[in-house]
Order: sequence, then C-alpha cells, then structure tokens
Amino acid sequence: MHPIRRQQAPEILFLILMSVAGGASLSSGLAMPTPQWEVIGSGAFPRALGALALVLAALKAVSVIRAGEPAPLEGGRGFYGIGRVALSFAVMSIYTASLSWRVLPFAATSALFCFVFFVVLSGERRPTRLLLAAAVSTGFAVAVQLIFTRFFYIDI
Amino acid sequence: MIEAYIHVFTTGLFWVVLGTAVGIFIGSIPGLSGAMIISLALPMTYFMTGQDALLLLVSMYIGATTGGLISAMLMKMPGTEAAIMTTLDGYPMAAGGEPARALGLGIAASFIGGILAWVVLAVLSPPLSEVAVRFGPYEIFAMAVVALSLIAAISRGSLLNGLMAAVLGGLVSLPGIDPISGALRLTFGWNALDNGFTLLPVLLGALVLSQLLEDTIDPSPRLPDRKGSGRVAIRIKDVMAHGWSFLRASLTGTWIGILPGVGGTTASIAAYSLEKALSRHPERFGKGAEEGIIASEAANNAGTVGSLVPLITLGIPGSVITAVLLGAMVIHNLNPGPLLFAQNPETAYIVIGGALAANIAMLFIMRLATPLLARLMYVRKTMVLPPIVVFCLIGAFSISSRYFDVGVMLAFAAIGFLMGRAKIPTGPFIIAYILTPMAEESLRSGLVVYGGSFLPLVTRPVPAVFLGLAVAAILWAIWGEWRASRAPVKTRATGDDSGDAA
Repeated sequence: MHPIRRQQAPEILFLILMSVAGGASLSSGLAMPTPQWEVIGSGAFPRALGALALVLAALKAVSVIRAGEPAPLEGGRGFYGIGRVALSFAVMSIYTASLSWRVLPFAATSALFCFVFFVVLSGERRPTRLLLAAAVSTGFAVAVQLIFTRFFYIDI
Repeated sequence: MIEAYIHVFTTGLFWVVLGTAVGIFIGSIPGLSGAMIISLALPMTYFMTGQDALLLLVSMYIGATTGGLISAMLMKMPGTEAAIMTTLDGYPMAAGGEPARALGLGIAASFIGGILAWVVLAVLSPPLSEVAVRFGPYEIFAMAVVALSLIAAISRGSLLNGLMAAVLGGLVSLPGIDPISGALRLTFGWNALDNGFTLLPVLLGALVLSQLLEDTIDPSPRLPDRKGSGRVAIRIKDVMAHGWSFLRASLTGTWIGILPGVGGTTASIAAYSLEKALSRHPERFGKGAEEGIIASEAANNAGTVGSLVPLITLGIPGSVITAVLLGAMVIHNLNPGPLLFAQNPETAYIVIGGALAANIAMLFIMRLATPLLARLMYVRKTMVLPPIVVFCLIGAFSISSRYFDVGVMLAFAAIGFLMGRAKIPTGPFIIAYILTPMAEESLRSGLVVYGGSFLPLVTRPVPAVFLGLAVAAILWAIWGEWRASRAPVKTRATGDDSGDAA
C-alpha cells in the first residue's frame, strides 16, 4: 500500500463512520412522521445533522483523495502499534463479556484481568515479579469488590 | 448568619475537610464521578444533622470538581467531565517536565474561581437568580449556539476536522427518547438504546479509555526530566500575570453555573474557548498554555459554586449533583425553595459558608498532597492502567446496572482512538455531544412558546446578541482558515495545529 495512503487509513475509516452515521440519521429522520403540533418535529435535527455529516464527509474525502494535499504531518501515526492496541482492546472486551456472563465472581475476573493486562503491557517474564503482580491484582480486586458491594451497594 | 459561619468553621469543619478530601480522591480517579460519590454518600447522612449533611455533600461536590484536574493533567484522562478542557493544556505542561507547575496553576485557578463565585453567591444570590430564571428557551438556545460556534474558534487550523467531530458528537446525542414529543428515534428497534448513549460511558470511552489504548503502545515512555524543584508553588506573580484570565474565567463560570441545567462542564468549555479567542497567541493553546489551564479550572470551580445559587434561592437544581443536594435538604426537612432565605436562613448560610470553607480546605489539601501527586507522572503506567480500566467499568456499570453501558464505553474507546489517529479533535465532539440536546430542546420549546415564530431569536436582546456573537465567531474562524490556506506551503507545514489538540 502506498505509504501516504497507509497513514491516511484512520481518516478513511473515520469518513466511513461519518458516512454511515450521517446516512442512518438522515434516513431515520426522513422516516419520522410530519409533526402535528410543532413547526419542526423530532426528525428535524436528525435530518439536519445527518445531511451535514454527509456533506462534511464528502468534503473531507475530496481533500484526502486530492494528489496535491500536503503529506501527513511528520509523526502521523496511521495504525502504528495497532497490534498492541487491538490486543489490549480484546483483553478489555473479554473482561467485560466475562463479567456480563458471570463466568466467575467479580473479584476473580478482575484479578485475572489485572494480571493478564499487566503482563500484556509490561511483557514481564520473571517469576518473582509475576507472583507479586498476581498477589497485588488479587488484593486489589478483592478490595474493590468489598468496597463497592458492601459500602456502596453496587451489584457488580 | 454569623452563627452559621461559626458552625462551619468550628464543629462543622471536620465534615468539610472529610468531604473535600473524599471528593478530591474520588474526582481524581477516572471512572468514578462526584455525582456517584455524593449519591452514594446520601444515605450515610441519615444519622447526621441536616446542616452537617449539607456541609459534607457540598464539600464533596467542590472537592470532586477539583480532583478531576489531577488525572487530567498527569494522565490526560479527566477524572470528572468538568476537567475535560484541563487535559488540553494541563497534560502537555505536565508531560513537558512541569507537573508541579501545572498542578499549581490548576489549584490556584480552582481556588480563585471558587472564591470569586463564592463572593457572588454570598452577595448577589437573590437578584441573580431572578435574572437567571428569566432566561427563556430562546435565550438558552442562543447561549448553546454561541458555545457551539466557539468550536470553530478552537478548531482553527483544522476547521473541517473540528466540524466533523462536532457533527458526530451531535449525532451521538440524538438516539433515544425525544425530549419534546416523547417519541423514540434513532434506536433502530434496539430497546437498549431507548435511553440513548448515556453521558458517562461516552466520556469514559472517548476520553479516558481511548487515551489508555494509546498508552498501551508505549506504557513506559521516557518523559522529560522534571524541571524546577517539584514543589508546587502557587505564585502571586502567576496570578498577577494572568489576572484578567482568572477574572474572565471565574465570572464566565459563575454566570453559566447559575443558569439552571447548564453546569461546570459547559462553563469550562465556554471559558476556555473565550480565552483562546481573546489570546494574542492562540497557537499556544493545546500545548501547555497557562491561560488554558486557568480558564478551564477557574470556570469549572466557579460553575460548581455558581450552581448553588438557584439551589438555595429558588430550590431549582441545575445539575444531577445539585438535585442530590436538594434531595438531602428534603430528607433532612430543610424546606428548600424560594422561601428558604426567609424561613430557614441558617440553612442557606450553611451552604454559603460551606462553599467558602470547602474551597479553603481544597487549597490546603491539594497544596499538601500535590508534591506526592506530581510524582504520579513518573509512575509506570503498567501498574496504573489496569486499575483504571476496572474503575471505568464500575463507573459505566453503576449508572443503570447494565453491561450495555460498558459496551458503549468500549465502543467509544475504539471511536476515540480512531479519531485520535485520524487527527480529528475530541474536544468539539464532546462539546457538541453535551450541547446539542440543550440546543434542540430549547429551540423546539421556544417555537412552541412563541407560536412557531423564529422572530424572537433576533428581536429579543439576549438571543440577538448571542447569535450575533456566534455568527462573528464562525466568520472569524472561516477567515482565519482562508488566510492560513493562502500562506506559503512551508509556513503551513510547520504552522498551528492547536485545533488537533482540542
């Protein structure tokens, strides 16, 4: 892939997001019934913002595609480091899913998450450090569960 | 009145210090909000006298607002929504090797903003509330438009990106129950979206977790060596050098805080945008400008104290937290409402005195704790990031006890990360997300009130002035973009990118 296009991949993805959101809002707004008691009804803002989103996305698409555009600023990151980000996001998602499905109690799931996330971030391999991380993660998770369930009555 | 102040500064002082310290601690943790801790503390006040309960809760409110600046500056993660704008300049200054100076400026701004607002609270409460409640829907709409138009001002250098972010923020605010007709819209048949995208998960995702995802790439970056002694100094010369900034931001925050339903977040957005628009060096904003920190922190604390004005003078809560405070007054039989000053003046003066004491306590607590807090900048993120995720999850879940909200938070974390990489600023996104519902509701309410006529928008003085300012701000931003586009290419490549920081 052309280097500049690779760096512009996030912008292109964002334009897709804008277009989808704008199109959904515009179509939903157009489908809303004509207001009976108001000058502008509940569909006015969705239509206006949806149309504006599509217009702005089109303008930005033109500026991205134009050959004469300046190269991305030095240091433009494109999807640099995306593997690590994706792994971290996956760990957080699995953590959330585990809690929602109540696979394990909150303290156990959170302790496991904190330990795994720490290992992912630090790349730590030394057994003593890993044992310490496991102990701290467990203590933290138990303390959080106690505080939020017994003191604040949040049903986590 | 004297007895109330004596109580606040003697027997009530324990509750002031406790409340302020707890508020600061909770406010500094992304994911845990002041609204949460105050709501959860309310049942614990049952065994206390009404006056001590109010002192505790008001102090928590003020402490939490200030505490948000700690994580905002040291981790680029606002601890509370009111500290969103503080991240823009507080973090660059702290990351540049001056965390103690950044914190010192923030604390000074918080204190001065709170004290100036307290003067207004103490002296001008009743007449100001009379003016504030005369703000009709078109006045509120015009004010929201001004604040939205200032997005253009803070996006100079990347106006198109800023507008896209703002429109996306507006779109995100629309799903759910229409505030005027009650109809469901933009839910696409999905029951979970009936209440829309709740504020806290969106903020936690777009601002906190998106930054956290960015941090995972290099969780132990080499930071510049610490500059200066590391001791937090709240210097008189800073106050003198930026006196007008302190004053403008405090008054802006106070006034916006007085308006029911607007809040400290809007106050800090408006003050920051105004300060940048008036600055001779707007390019410095977003890169560690002192005025940016001062504007945001002075305004959000002033807004916090200002929001107590309609509460004690008219019994009108202007925000979730003041609604909880109102609930506390009802629980303790303190008779909130327009006659509070007449029938129960000691309660009103307890709140006023408590606001003063809490600001003073905040100054001392933050001053003592900040040298230690400044070291957090240099703590390995591998140890800090996992607990932040846990707190964010609990924060998002605690709103409605739904994991859907946690899923929303994760989705906006991905969107916020994408926006950062696409150099789309998140500031306008958040500003529009917060202000669009206010603008829509007030416009449509105004049309109902004035029989479908838009004319009062230009014939009533307040909306006319505000809308004129909005048009001027947009035209000025467009003119600035046009001028920048005609500048030589070399200048453009090394020019202003402060819009990206926003």
